[in-house]
Amino acid sequence: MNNKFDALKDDDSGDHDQDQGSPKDSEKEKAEDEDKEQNTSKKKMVVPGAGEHPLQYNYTFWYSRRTPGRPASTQSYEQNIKQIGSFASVEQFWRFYSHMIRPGDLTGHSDFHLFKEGIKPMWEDDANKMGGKWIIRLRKGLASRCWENLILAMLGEQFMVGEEICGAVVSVRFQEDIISIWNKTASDQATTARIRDTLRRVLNLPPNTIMEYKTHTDSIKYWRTLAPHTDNLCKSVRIDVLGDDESREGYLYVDSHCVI
Amino acid sequence: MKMEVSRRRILQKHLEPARPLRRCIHVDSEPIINAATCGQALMEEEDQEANIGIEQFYRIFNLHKQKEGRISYTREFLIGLASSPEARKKPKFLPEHPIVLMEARDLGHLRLHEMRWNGGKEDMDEERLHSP
Repeated sequence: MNNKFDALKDDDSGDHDQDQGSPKDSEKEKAEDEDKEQNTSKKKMVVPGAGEHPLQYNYTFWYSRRTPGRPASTQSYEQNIKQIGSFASVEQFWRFYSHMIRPGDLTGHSDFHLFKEGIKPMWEDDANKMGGKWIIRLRKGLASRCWENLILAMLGEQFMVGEEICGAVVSVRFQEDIISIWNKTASDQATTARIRDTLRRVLNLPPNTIMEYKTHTDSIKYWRTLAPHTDNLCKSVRIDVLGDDESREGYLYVDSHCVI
Repeated sequence: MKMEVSRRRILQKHLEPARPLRRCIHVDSEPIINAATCGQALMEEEDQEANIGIEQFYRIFNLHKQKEGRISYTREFLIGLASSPEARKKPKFLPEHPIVLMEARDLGHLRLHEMRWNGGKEDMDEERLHSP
């Protein structure tokens, strides 16, 4: 009721509308400035739109591609990986998904990553460093469909392992494609077994499919062996080791995520 | 006589009118209502009889999220939403990049796979997975 009277009063003294508007505007600007400040350090959290179907977690799409011919030392893995966008609802997910090409249509040596917001698709991230991943190798032609089924299961919380899932990766390589799903605690066997079983079900994998679990610490050790002289290995070595030698690629890309 | 009167009073007290589903958006609502159902109910009520602010909704929604289990969706349900107008819009912030499309691409293949999958045919035989 009070509001109504105030509104009437405003109508009578028309010009004051402007004056009343300005402090609000400056408040708004202030809020925007604060947002900007936050943006520089941390991205503003996305929220589901009204009426949209919220997801259990927010997620971020990332894309990375190995750039051939560039000297490795100048580019780090972190620089090479690009954020596409974050979403909080099913509708927002589809908006991004329908505006990106499918993994099967990617060319060259590239990866899509879909990780929970705040977790970088890197071994070094706090959420990943004790973790590992299930890896499934696919023959060419299957990546798009398997990737879709994998991420839909992840977004829909079909894995039922609490907070354990970190994200998923699809890696397009020379002769085959690889999909993987990352979890927080590599030593938690109940969790990894459950993830494996869910993967089998949602990807409709034949019983003889080989699934490999790899801890991120093993991946790091592996790279350390290959490049013992590099201190900053997690960030920049990967390309050094690979070079552009496609024949070695078959051996080296065992690790789906680390190779750019 | 006295007994009967008091019993009636009790009965009246317990018989509250049924509340419509959209009431679940109010703060004092029953904790039994599942957060996802709540979201869905809102979606269905698109004519927006109950006009609540987004912030209010999320405050309440997060309360539910904490209390209830996880928000889970089946593959079919997610795919069902892919064709909704909201899902076809261009995201507000989209970087310019070779893998980013200016127009939403057709997601019809999702439905197609679904149909084939439901058909119970063993797709994986035709499109056999990589086996060493």
